Formats: sequence, structure tokens, C-alpha cells
Amino acid sequence: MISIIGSLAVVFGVLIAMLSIAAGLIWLERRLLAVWQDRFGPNRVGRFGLLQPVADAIKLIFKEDWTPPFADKPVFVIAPAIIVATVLMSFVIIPFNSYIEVIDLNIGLLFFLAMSSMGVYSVALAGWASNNKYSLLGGLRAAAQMLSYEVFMGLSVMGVVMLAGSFNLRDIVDAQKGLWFCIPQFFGMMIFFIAGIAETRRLPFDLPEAESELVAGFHSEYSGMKFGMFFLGEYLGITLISAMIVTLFFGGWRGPVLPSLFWFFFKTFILLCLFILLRASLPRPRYDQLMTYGWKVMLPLSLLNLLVTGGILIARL
Amino acid sequence: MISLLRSLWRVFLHMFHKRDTILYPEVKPYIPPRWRGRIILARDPDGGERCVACYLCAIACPVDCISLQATEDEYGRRYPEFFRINFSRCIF
Repeated sequence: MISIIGSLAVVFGVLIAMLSIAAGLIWLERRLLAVWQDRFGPNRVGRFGLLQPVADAIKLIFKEDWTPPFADKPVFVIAPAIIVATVLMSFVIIPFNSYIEVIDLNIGLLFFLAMSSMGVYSVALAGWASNNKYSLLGGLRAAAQMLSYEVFMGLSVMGVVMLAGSFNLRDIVDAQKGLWFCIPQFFGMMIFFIAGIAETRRLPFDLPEAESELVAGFHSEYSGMKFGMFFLGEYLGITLISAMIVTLFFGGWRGPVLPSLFWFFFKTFILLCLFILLRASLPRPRYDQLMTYGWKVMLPLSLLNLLVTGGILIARL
Repeated sequence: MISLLRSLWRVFLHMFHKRDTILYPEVKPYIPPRWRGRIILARDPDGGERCVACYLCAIACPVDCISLQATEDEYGRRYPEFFRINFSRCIF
């Protein structure tokens, strides 16, 4: 009984923490973008503008939730739910510290990869169901981009799996006791990070929603809280990728002196800021450049990384 | 790749630059003491017409929103017969 209450507390704690982090990220992103562009950003609602996400949420809830008459209604409604559900499901396997974790899965990393693949359905279906050429183009781009970047996203973490000898994230963090994997697996980390940006469709790779060409891409026809769901899904996705990078390459909750939970969130926070810095500074590539980059540079590089890691491991035996 | 990293770093350094935004209701902009915001046809202290209808204002106005017609009174002093500012056209 106690264990059920404990695990329920962890489940709801993680859920609420992640949703509020995603909401807070909206404020953080706007504030940091402003700081890097010599502006102030939202600073009117509440102290330092901290209540801005609340105001945004109220606005989104009270907006008209309009479904276009030409849309494929059931698919149109379910698409935004898929992205939030899959990303939230992925948080299940992340160990926040040595005892806070929703479920201790042996195939944790595979579960994460599976769930991030499921996210493709959301954008593809949203683009399809909107029955609008811009949305469809956005959906197509999103599907192709996410599928091709997923290939080496999976390959890039295999080096970590080889070093740790396990798919279990807790074992992977334990294997980083001496040395964080960001040093032996530097290329793996870079590849995973770039693939993570493409997976969450963040700015250097936000071609699915390139506003200068496609209006808003796959979510052009969405309004109100359905649009808010895509928004939430994107920010949850960034948090997820940052948390995964921390767990896989930066020793998870490990750190000196301060409590482990602090270290986990501090490292995640730094990575989130890096995501926002990328958005502030880098332009968007052309679509064929994106594809070329993925298949001709990143995929061979991740295979090479895998080969070298495997070779070193065998030589060490 | 190097140029990407350099641009990342330079954007990051903008954190320590001065903000360009003026926080308006708290910080008022500097207004010169001679500044008069609204366009009016000024009169002298006795309430008499000051304008001598030289048309310079009508020529200077970039959107031609000032129109006037000069006449002379019985002493030979020029004054505008009418002086109209078209506020719907005014860009000030």
C-alpha cells in the first residue's frame, strides 16, 4: 500500500514538475532570447514577468477552438494529444536521482527511442488532417526530418550502451561514476544533441514550421488549446532531450556536495539554455541541406563513432 | 562549423551589452524644453494674429496638410484668410 502511494506520488510529482517546467520554459525562452538580442522580454506580468505563461495559458484556453470544416475531424483532434502523450511517456524512464524514477525499465533507452518515434505520428497526422497544402508540406517535412535524424540518434547512443553494457538508464548513470561519458563519447554526444534538436524541431532545424515559407507548417490550422498542445509538446520535448543528454553523457544526478536532484536539474537547465542560445543565433538551413547533412555527414560519423568505440572496447578485453 | 560556434559565442556575449529597450512608463524619454507637441496657430499675448501668411509652413510640410490663403488688412499687414491643418492627413 505504502509503495503504491509512493509510486503515485512520484508519477504525479514528475507529471506536474514537467508540465510546470514546460510552462516556465516559455517565459525562460522569451526572456533569454530577449537578453541575447539586447531587449528585456516579457517583464510586465508579475515579478520579472514570471506570470507570463499563466497569462498565455488563460489566453489560449479562452480562445475560440476552431476546427476547419474541411479537416479530417477525429485525426485533427487526436494529433496534438499524441505528441504530448508520447513525450510525457518518455519521462517515465528518466532517473531524476538515485530513488526518484517512475519505472526502472531494462530497456529504458529503447523505450525512449520508441516514444520519440511515435511523436512523428503527431506532426504527420496533424499536417494530413488539416487538409491544407502548407500543413501537408510541413507534415511531410517533419516526418522525413524526424525519421532520418532518428536513425543516427539511435546509433549515437549505442556507444554509451556499449560502454555501460546496459540499456537501463540507472546502470548507465552508475557507469559514469569515474568519468562522464561526454569525454569518451564526445562525438556521440554531439550527434545525439544535433539529432535531438531535429527531433524536437527546434530552430536551426525547424523546417516543418518554417514560418517564412509554410505559414506555421503542420499546425497552421490549429487554434486555442490544440495549438497550445503542440507548443507544450515542443517544450516538453526540449526538456526531455536535455534530460536525456544529462543522463546519458553528463553523469545524470551525479555531482559534488549539493543534493543530487539539484545537480540533475542544474545540468538540464544549462542544456535548455543552450537550446535557446541555438535558436537565438543560428539561421535555418535549406531543406536539401538538412537532408544531406543528416545522411551524408551525421550518419557516417555516428557509424564511425560506433566502430571506434567497439574497436577500443575489444582491444581492452 | 567554426563560424557557427563563433556566432553562438558572439550572440552569447550580447548578454553583457546594454539593453536597447527604453522601459517607457518608468523611464520617460528626454523631451527638449522648447518642444510643443500639438500643431496650433500661435497668437500674440493680445490675442491678435501672429501669422504673416508666408506659406513657408505649407511648403515645408511633407504631406501638404497645411493650406492657407493670404490676404492683407487695411494697414497692409498680411494675414491668412483661412488656415487649415488637415489632421487626417497629418503624419506628425
